[in-house]
This record gives sequence, C-alpha cells and structure tokens, in this order.
Amino acid sequence: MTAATTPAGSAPSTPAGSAPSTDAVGSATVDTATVPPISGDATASVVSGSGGVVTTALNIGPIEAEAASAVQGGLAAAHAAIWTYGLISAYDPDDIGTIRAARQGNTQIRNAATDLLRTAGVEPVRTEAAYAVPVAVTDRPTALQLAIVVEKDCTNAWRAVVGTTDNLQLRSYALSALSDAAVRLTGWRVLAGVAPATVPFPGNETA
Amino acid sequence: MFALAGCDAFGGGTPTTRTVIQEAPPPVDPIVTLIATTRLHLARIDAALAAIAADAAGVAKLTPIRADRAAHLAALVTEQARTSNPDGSVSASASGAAAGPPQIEMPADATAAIAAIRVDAENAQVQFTDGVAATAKYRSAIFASISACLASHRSVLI
Repeated sequence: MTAATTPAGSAPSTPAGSAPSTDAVGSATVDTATVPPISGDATASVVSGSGGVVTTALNIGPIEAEAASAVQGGLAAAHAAIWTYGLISAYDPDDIGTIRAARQGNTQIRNAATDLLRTAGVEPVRTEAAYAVPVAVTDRPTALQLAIVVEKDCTNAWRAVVGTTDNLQLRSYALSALSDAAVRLTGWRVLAGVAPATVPFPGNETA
Repeated sequence: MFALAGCDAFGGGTPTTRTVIQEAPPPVDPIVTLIATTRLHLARIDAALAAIAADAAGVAKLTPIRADRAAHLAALVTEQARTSNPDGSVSASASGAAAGPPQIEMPADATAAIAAIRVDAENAQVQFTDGVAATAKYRSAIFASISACLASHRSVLI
C-alpha cells in the first residue's frame, strides 16, 4: 500500500500525509556533537468569561523553514485523517469507539499543529473539502485497510518533522504525534489481522 | 618598587595572572547507551522465548517483538559505525560479536515473561525519547522512530 490520502483533484502521486521532500532519512551529513538548545515555552490560561475553559498556548520559539514545511505535512495528514475517519465510520460500525478515539486524537494533533504554526508566524494549511482515498471502501475489511493507510501517512509525516528541526520542543511535540499515530496504526493492524501487528520503524514506511 | 613588582600604578604592564578558558567536554553520544540497552533487551527476549517455549501463544506474541528489536539493534549499530568509522566497518565490541551470550533467567510463566518484556519496552522508550533531544537531526529521527515503535510494543504486550 504505497498510495495515501490526497485532496480530491490533486495529483495522487504526492501523498498528502507523507512528509514533503524533507524526510530526514535521505540526509547524508550528520553532526552528532551538535545538541540544540532549549527554546520557547508553553503556557496555559483560563479564558475569561468562559466558565473555566483552559486553553494552551504553545510558543516553541523560532523554527526552521524546512521544519515549518514538515509540520504543514503533519497538519495536512491530520486533516486527511479526520475526514477519512468519517468515511471509515460509515463502513465499519463495529469499531465505532476506536474510530471515534482515533479521530479525536488526530483532531487534537490538528489543533495543536495549527496553533504551533501560527505562533511561528506561518499560515497553517487548511483542510480540503474532500480527499481521494487509495482504497475503495466497501466493507469493514477495506475500511480497516484505509485506516492503516491513514495512520501510516501520519507516522511518515511526523517522523519527518523530527528530522528537520533543532527546536527541542518541536521535536518533542512531533515525537508525541508520531508515537500516538504508531499506536493507532498498530491497533488497526491488529483489528485487520495484519501480521506482524507492529512495524520496526514507524514513519519510515513506503509500503 | 612598582617596576620591581612587575606592575605599575595604572594596571598596565605584564599581567601577573593568566586566565585559562577550559571548555566543557563534549556531550556523551547517547547511541552507545541505546545500543547497550537494545542488546540487553534482545537477550532478555531470547531468554523469555526459551523459557516459555511450550506456550505457543506467548511465543507468537514475542516473536515479532524480537524481530523489531533486532532490526533496531542492526540500525543503531550501522548508524554508529557510519559516523565513527569512515570505512563503515563495525568493531567487534559494537556488534556484540566478542561478547558471549549473557546468562539471563526469565519467568517460565508466559504472562509474567510478557509483562517483563513490556517493562523493558517502557524503559527503552524513555531512553530513546531522551535521546531524541540529545543528538542531531538525522539521528534524532531514528531514535524517534524506535521510540514510537516501543510505544506500539507496549500496546500489544498485554
């Protein structure tokens, strides 16, 4: 399964969820002695007049242009996942609780990535009206197959973010998103009966 | 008198003390510890597989976990060799070839053995997560991917 969810009408050869051209796997140079400094801060505040609604403002400081582009890839993957889980839920009522949890997880990632990009001065990509999916969903097995593709796209996107930045807070955020997607991916593979259930290097998959 | 003391009233002349700036030692590369941890956990999985050999379900659960950890070890050793040895060769100590098989005893009960391997995955995930912040971009992506894999291991080792 190499194809990924793409915005409807766009060229299917460019996965929306995969990392752009910034995948760190292809990097040839490395400086292991370079440990990036800590930057940015995170704050939480109660919205006045909201009755106690707590919002978080993640200010991670400046990020590299390449990293911002990679985060856009992660955000696009989250947008696609949220939309696609709506389609999946229509064909897989047996796993509706898992679908809801996965959609909620991607929604949180989407919201955080949107805030993160805005605080970095980058306009976040918007969701598409519809997405072309690489699996013709007709029943539960094909719905599970599509869910696997969705989360694989997310792992690819967030792993790429880690490899493009020296900002430690952004790395930490991307690692959380990557780990969450890897766990969801494993869950879908278990439900689909795919063996093995785990993959050794989440985010580094082309198949 | 000032001339004899090597200084004058205006602070000029040759200084009598020298300031030596000593730089801190470079940070320890976390990959060394991560390789050791992965090798240890791999040996523990092997010991667990031997201890629960009669339990087909337990063996079926641990076998793919072992394959993932073996892939992690191979990738880490390759990555270490890539940056430390220009010719790409891997030393015996790095590959573990010189070390004999460690003597590790694991529970014969499959549930207990799997629980022990799950704790290993938790500990390793913490180490790899810390490693993500302690190295450069390319290597941090490898550590992140392994950390995420370990998170998925925790979800199936139940």
